[in-house]
Amino acid sequence: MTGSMRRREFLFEFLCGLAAVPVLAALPGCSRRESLRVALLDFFADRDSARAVGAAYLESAPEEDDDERLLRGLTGGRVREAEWEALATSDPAALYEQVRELHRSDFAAGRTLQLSGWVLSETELRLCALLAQMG
Amino acid sequence: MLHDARSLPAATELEAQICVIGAGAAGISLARALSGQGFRVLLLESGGLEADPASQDLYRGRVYGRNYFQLDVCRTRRFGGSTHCWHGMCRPLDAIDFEARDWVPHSGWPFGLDALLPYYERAQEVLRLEPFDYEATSWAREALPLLPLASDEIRSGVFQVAASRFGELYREEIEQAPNVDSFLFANVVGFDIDERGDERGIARARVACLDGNAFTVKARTFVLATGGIENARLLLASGLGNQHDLVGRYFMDHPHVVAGAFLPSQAELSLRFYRAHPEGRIELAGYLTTTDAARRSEQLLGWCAFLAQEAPLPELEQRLASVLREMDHPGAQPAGRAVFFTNELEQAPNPASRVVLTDLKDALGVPRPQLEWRLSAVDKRSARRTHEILGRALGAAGVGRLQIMFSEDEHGWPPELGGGRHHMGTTRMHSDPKQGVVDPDGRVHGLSNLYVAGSSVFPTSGAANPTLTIVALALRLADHLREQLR
Repeated sequence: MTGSMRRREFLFEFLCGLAAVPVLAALPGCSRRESLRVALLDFFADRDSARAVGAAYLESAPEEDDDERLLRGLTGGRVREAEWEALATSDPAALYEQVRELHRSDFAAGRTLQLSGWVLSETELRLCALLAQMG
Repeated sequence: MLHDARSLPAATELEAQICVIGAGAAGISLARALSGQGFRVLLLESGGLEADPASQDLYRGRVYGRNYFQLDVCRTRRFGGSTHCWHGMCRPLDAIDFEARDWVPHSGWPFGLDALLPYYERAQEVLRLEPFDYEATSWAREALPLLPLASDEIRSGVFQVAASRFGELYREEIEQAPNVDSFLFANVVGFDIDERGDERGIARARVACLDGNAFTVKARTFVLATGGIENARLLLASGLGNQHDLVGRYFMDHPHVVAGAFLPSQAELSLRFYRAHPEGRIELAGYLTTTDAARRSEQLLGWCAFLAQEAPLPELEQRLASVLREMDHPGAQPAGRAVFFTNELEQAPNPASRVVLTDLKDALGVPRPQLEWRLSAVDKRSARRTHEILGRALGAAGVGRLQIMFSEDEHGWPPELGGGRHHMGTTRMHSDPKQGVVDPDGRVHGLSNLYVAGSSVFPTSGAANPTLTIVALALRLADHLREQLR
């Protein structure tokens, strides 16, 4: 992770209080994009496990160690990104269902990656990697 | 009647309409199907009723190249043959296995599944199985559910499992068959050829016993049913059927390898259908396989996967189990263990995979065989791709994830890869003598009265254990021979 990315994370956490409160997306001061990030990071109840899996993935694919790239990879483009940004503040449960749908369709579409030989969806790995980036 | 060939007067010549050489699954099935007919059948068995080291030693040979079992531990040389040592795994070949597939060199049977179906149904009875139904959906129920794979690439199948020991099951029946005489300790060591104009056939078989006795058998028809290595060995040693250098080539086994671990997305996932479980007088064991559509579109060989042992989870996998649970079944218990898949793969026919003769001779003076089992890049590519497809199907269904243990190179296999002791292809069946040793009836090309029974005639192997098909082909051959003798 680069120094500028770490600084950005720090600022982000400062603004949103990410680690302490689960659904912070509606807090004043968070941009829609930041809100989406917060909501996505809140997907996992067992964050330690997701972070460990994400860290292992980033170690094997260092080119993915870029939060913008991960977020872009997760949403797959501006249209879904906008939709997810809206859901992040209005209906996180619906957002998570969409994430799960995308995750399932990854397998059908061959959007899979391997971690230590495990065939995993791009969505689940990038979601874990996003969490790992937060340290 | 059962006889001890060692007690025959020396230089006896026995006569029969049909002489079946080898009393294993094929030979006994054939003899039973020919019993009660108006002609005499001789059934010659190299061993006795019990295991006998001296007879067993006749199997000994060399293994060259890829690691394989010692040849004398692959088979059982006694009345009943290797049904004394099998696990009883039965299922028919799939329809696609009979087709000439342009992505599988040298593939294609001279007939399709439909031609064999009536014999498969009869083979079920011979093997003491349940009715001929291999649809997984027919046997699944609430307590034994199928994996909910909404996939058009991976499906569930089922093996019927009954380790029928033919020596025990059918000894009495053979003893009492009025037209069948079985001779134990009778080893065919060669043939005398009868040439009449353009027609060439077997006049008599030369038979030897390990105690030194020797006799001959004169028959109208001979059937070689001694196993996938021994059938080729005897033809090579006798210089028969090899006018196109095909005898012994195309040796196939089913590569068996643990090449995938399965991590369920939740602890509660039921895998009971895929473990051997009792059903009526037999056991059933579910498996996963590729659909015909996937095999065509992805150009895959046959394959099936069984559940093997479970294993505790290393640290990363413990973490992964938690992630999978949250992705697929939030609120459920994460799996605490992974389970390995044992894969049974179809091997593409390969002329370089073969049985040859050595300079070494057995106690009866017959050259010992050498097995050179060779896999090809086609096999590896198919196995690797199949696992990628399985991994996707398991993930898409939300049942779990697959860990692929194959390397990506063309030839590298896990070191523990072994065979299934399924010896196939060495006297392959084809209507063209330049492409097969036997014709579609099982008759050796160029010989009027020598037939081959058993898995050595399989042009391709599918991923089905061979015994059910061996028995079905033997019953089909019996019908043909009855017709010939009519």
